[in-house]
Amino acid sequence: MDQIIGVFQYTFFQNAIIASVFTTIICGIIGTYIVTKRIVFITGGITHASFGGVGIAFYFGINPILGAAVFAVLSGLGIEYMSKYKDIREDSAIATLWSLGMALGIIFIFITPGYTPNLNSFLFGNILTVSYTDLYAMFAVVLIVVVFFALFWRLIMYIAFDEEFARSQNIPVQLFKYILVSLVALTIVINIRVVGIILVLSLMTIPPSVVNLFVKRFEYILLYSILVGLSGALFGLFMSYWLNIPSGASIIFALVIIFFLGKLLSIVLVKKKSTEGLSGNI
Amino acid sequence: MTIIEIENLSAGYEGKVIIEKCNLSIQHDDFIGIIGPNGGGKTTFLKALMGLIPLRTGQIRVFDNEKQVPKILIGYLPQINHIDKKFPITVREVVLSGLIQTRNWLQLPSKNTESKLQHNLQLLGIESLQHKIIGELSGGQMQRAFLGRAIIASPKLLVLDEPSTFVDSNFESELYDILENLNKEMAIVMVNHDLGTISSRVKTIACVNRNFNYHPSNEVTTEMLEQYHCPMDIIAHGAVPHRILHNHN
Repeated sequence: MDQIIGVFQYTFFQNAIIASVFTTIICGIIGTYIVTKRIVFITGGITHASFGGVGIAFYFGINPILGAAVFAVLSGLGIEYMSKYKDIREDSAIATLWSLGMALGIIFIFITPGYTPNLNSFLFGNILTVSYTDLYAMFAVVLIVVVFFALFWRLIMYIAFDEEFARSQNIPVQLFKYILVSLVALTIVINIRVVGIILVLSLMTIPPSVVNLFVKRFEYILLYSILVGLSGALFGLFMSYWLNIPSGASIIFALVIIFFLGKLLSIVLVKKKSTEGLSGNI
Repeated sequence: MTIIEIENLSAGYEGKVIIEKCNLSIQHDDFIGIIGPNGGGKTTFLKALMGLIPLRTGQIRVFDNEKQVPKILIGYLPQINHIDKKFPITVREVVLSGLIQTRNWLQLPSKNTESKLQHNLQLLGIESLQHKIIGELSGGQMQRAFLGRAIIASPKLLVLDEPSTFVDSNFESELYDILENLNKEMAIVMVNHDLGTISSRVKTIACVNRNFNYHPSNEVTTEMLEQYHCPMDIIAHGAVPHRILHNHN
């Protein structure tokens, strides 16, 4: 018990907890959007493209997260713009962007003279090294995402459900899609510190997938995903501390465990419901 | 009274022309059935009409009370197979989304929208389903919900793309009764592959097969069938009322 209380006295751990809260708010909301709109693959493309930005920023001595942000937003807008043209094989184009980003990142970091940065922190993240600056940046993104979705969740839901109908009703669908893909890109970048480029996708997709097993309404999935994500993040954080394993990986692992528990529970519930239904019929 | 005037319209995708030389003026009480072979450009025509795809040539003018206006309210029932049936949205919200442009930007619920919604759900007989998720509905129930979404804002023009697919024959005739009633308040343009239904329920017919041919009656003629390029389809359906078929010889 003393050990649990003791760890809270460390600033790095307090920051990690605050970061978990911010992260799960952003990822719960944006994750619900990408899962229901079925743009998880696009999100994966943007995530890995952002690594190109990290590499180039290193080469020119700029803040790598800033480089990642520029790259992520631009590639997101690019994909959204291209998707208007039907003759492009979208999945292949995204896969190309995906590896192009990684390739650019590796090349530029390799040719950067002198000190070679530790790539692990970008690929796998480390929530225990989150700084105050990171926290301020995260808070800004939380604010933007929460306000945008609180105001426009119905419009966002209508557009995600049937884009063509929304366009037939003169809604500025393309503008909304550009804004949303930029928010998706910002979400990715802000979470590179926490779980890294390789793991960030499941931080967004697992919570809504768990919630969607039990809840079938967009607005509730938004809210409950935050709670599921937070329990996964905190569970993973403590696991990482106690077992002395990397925090990003341990958070994702915790979320996967929650997913399987949820899946089991939903199977049991469905079985119970169907047997009840049967006995009711007799 | 004319509500839409289409002049020399052509449209398509990525440099390919799908339809051309469309000329049509839609009156406020029209009920136009659109027939034509698959890939002939029926859906493309509807999309061009609603401004969902850019025009390659020509223009569409829109009128309200004889005055030219930038736009009028259009209700749209798309082909049901383009809908994501796993999307977590309730029937209520689907129908409410039909008010998307008449409500304020935040789409906040009000007494007015709620009473419109309940009236609409009653008309289509889906009140008891309003809290269900859209994917839990049967094909016919889903079409009712989408028809509800299309008409809740009382549009001047209702555009329907294959409304009778995935629908049982009971609901099909009910659907056309509902449409007949709606036609008293709005113009209807409907794409349908079923010739029999088209000729008995609509007022006029247009054939779309790259070209656009408008027939100011609801009689299906031999020439039209030739344009339709699809006699097999008619045999397969077997339910074309023969009063409208001239002798092929």
